[in-house]
Amino acid sequence: MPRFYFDINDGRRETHDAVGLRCDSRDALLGAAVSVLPEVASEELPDNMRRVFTVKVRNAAGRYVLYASLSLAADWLDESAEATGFAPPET
Amino acid sequence: MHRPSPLVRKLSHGARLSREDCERLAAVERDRRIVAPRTDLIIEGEEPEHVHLVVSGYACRYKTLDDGSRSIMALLVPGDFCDLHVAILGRMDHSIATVSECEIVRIARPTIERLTERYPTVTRALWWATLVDEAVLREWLVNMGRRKTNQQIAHLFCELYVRMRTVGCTDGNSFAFPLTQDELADTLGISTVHLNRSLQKLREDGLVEFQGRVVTVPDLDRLSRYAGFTANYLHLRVLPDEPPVADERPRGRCGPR
Repeated sequence: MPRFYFDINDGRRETHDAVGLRCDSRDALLGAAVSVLPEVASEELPDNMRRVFTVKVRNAAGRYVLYASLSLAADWLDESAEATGFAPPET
Repeated sequence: MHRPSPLVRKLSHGARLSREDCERLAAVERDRRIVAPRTDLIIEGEEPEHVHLVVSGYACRYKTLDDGSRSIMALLVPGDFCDLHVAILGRMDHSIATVSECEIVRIARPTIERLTERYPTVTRALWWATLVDEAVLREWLVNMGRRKTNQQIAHLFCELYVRMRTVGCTDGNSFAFPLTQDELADTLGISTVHLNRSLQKLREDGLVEFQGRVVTVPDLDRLSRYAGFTANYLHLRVLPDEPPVADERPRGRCGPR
């Protein structure tokens, strides 16, 4: 079973996987790459209005074979004190 | 004088065992057998006929889910009973397997019954052990539900360090940790990829070191603060800096061999 390495960027810090994971199929590899993103995101959020989490998967030879990303995009629709009851941000 | 076993070391936190109590316990755990790594001791649905006691190595409680994945709900280290009171429930609602090679004692149920009828202090100690198991489970529930992954892992290592030290199975700041990355991920309820990333951060921050199947905690106080760990739920009479019984046991005997 081939081993793959998952380099994860949480928008602040990138980790290079030195341990890797053995995957026995394309689906297993895709599943492993995708399922780690919400796990990492739930650790790091809430933190900002915009945040992108990415994973790049390397094969044993060091060639990147898969990329996946998960983005957070939060926007105020009306952040006036009138609407929220909170003081507006100082700009 | 013979050296105290992990069981005697552990139970001496739960009751003031007399010399006779200790001798009786030593007699019960005399008949040991070596069990290979990753071997089921009892499977979900079976009726337990024996109580299993871990003398050396690691075992675990686990359940297999419908999709074939596994959840590990407890790690059993030297001195731990696997299924002390489960006979009252009839059939196993989970499975128990070795993780590393283990020395296991299979104790016939009547032996336990005789023991508890004749030795009230031992009975009290066994109650204590069962209640501590529940307390550990509560802590794991908090750990899985509310702590971030890095803290969750750090908390588990704090707990294991203290538990292993209690039964005389640490070597300085190090202890055997035979779980594979998949098994640790199944214990924490996270993916293996996420686990690898989190372990890397703990290592980079100098909180935990890994060498082969050995974990080293350079500074338990620092790791405890990081994890939000307090040992209160282990209900130890004294913290295992000072072992309750003199240590004459050669180190390393308790780990996987």
